[in-house]
Amino acid sequence: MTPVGQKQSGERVRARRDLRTAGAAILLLALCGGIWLWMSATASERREKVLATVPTFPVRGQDQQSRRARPAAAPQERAPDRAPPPAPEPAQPARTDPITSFVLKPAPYVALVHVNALLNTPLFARIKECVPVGWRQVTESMEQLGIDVERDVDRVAMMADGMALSGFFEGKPIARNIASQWSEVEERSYRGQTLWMSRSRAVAQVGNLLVLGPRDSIEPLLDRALDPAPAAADPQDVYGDVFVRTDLTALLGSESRRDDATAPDPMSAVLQALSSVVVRANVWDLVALSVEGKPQSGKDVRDLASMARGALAVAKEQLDPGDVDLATLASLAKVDASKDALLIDLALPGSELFDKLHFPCPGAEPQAPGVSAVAP
Amino acid sequence: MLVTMFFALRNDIVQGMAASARQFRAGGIVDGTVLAHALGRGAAAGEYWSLLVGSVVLSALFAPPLLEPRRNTLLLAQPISRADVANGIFLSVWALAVAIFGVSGIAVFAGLRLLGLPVAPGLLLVPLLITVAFAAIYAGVLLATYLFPNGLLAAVVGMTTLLALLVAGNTEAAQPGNARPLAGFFFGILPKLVDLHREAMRLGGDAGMGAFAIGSTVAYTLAMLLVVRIVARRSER
Repeated sequence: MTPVGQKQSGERVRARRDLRTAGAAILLLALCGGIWLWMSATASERREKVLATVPTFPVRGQDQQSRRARPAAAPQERAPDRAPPPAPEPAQPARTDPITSFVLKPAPYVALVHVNALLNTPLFARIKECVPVGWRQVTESMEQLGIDVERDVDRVAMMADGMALSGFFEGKPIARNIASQWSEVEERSYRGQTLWMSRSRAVAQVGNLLVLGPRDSIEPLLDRALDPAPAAADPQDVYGDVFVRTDLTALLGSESRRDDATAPDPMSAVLQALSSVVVRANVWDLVALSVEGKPQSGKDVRDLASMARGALAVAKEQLDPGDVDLATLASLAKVDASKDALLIDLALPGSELFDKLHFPCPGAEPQAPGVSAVAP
Repeated sequence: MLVTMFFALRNDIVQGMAASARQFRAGGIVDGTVLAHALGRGAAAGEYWSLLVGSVVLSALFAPPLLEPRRNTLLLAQPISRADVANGIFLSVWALAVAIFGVSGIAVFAGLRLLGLPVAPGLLLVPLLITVAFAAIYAGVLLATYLFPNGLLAAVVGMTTLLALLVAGNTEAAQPGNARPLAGFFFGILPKLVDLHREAMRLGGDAGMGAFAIGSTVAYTLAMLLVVRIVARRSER
């Protein structure tokens, strides 16, 4: 063998060795890429499942359209949709229904809950599962008043001075039944409606609407329901399974609105710069929450939006990236600034809150042999 | 680094912020433990990026002088291969970085504890993750150095790699659950700098540590070192 031949042979050996080395390098990289794809596919499936359980964010006019794609795992026993109860007073054809008028009139705090919608969500099913005894007590006590909670109650409106319920109450003496449980009941008429008043409380029924509150507030409460909504108020603004409007005085107090020495966290600072907030939420397995805030005069809504985005980014940084569920929900969070309002969309875990925040759920815990979850 | 730490600990602003954090009393779910975890996560993130960026720039200047033909003639006269020299350079720089990261990690942990902030002991493991990330970048820098033996170019390659991986790791497609077949595979083979940063934050927050980001980045480093061996063997001029 010549030296040239030895050199060629050595180069062939070196080339084969380099080829093997390169192959090993490619194999290592391909292994990582493959594992990542497999992990990502698993995470993607999980993400799709989570997204399927998020209801659509509240939108104007949502009652006229299907609000959520029904997930495969959704419970099938959703109660059949019933037509909304007829308005009790057909005297004014163009007016909004009484409970919407009740909500639209100015108040420091007012909330409207679509009970009928909430009762048929997986989240509420979980609550019922957790407190079966408490739920049974509520339904039984309401039955004594003539109300089937799961079928008769449509909406509940609450404010600091009292509340109103709308539902299928026409022809049922619900208010009279409530009053019969009080002592020293006085009965009188106001604007053609009968009021039942005890020393401290009062109730009235206007067809399908019940109004309850302190004795001194019952007449203004009834006025809220019977008078037409203010001309400037748009009934279409009231949407979402849960609707809350507040000027934040109850939450922050007038003292905390003043500039003081303590530096609040970014989200508190955003809240303190708002003059009013409207919170709307749709509920299914999870909660799609939409917050609309009006800034105080002199506050730049774009600055507030930037502050809210910063606060959200900080919160996202605190999340465990391996938790696909929470990461998916965090990806749905959004902050927008319109001309005169700050808009924040958040998707919140609903039933999972019981597990993640360790809320007690005694009804779902395994029972010891011979012990019943529901009291006899 | 230690001198900077010393002056930082004596800084009135730092002392004031630490005192505010110590005095912070929040209700609800933000209790002292949650606050300590949040501080730990922030400290881990700061430690990770500051040490990583600093080390990438400085380490890039080591290898080029060693590869100059006039300097390594005697070295290569010994019974060692060029591939062994490449491995030696990588290991020596890596060992130096490990020592610096380790000491700095202990200094950060001790400093925060001295300030009265009850950060999690997991913060002490953050240098391990910085080491993994550094090794991945330095393997690329060493490869560039063999191809073009210039210190400045190596530093540029190191910083560009770091920035590119930072951007890539933050893209939507690189998040779990968003991967598409081809792009997902591409992101899968890259070093997981951003994921390692998140793992570091988990350690700082007293949570467990995921293995994939570490394993994947180590695999990339090994693959890159294999390529460096090939280039080193063929670098005889």
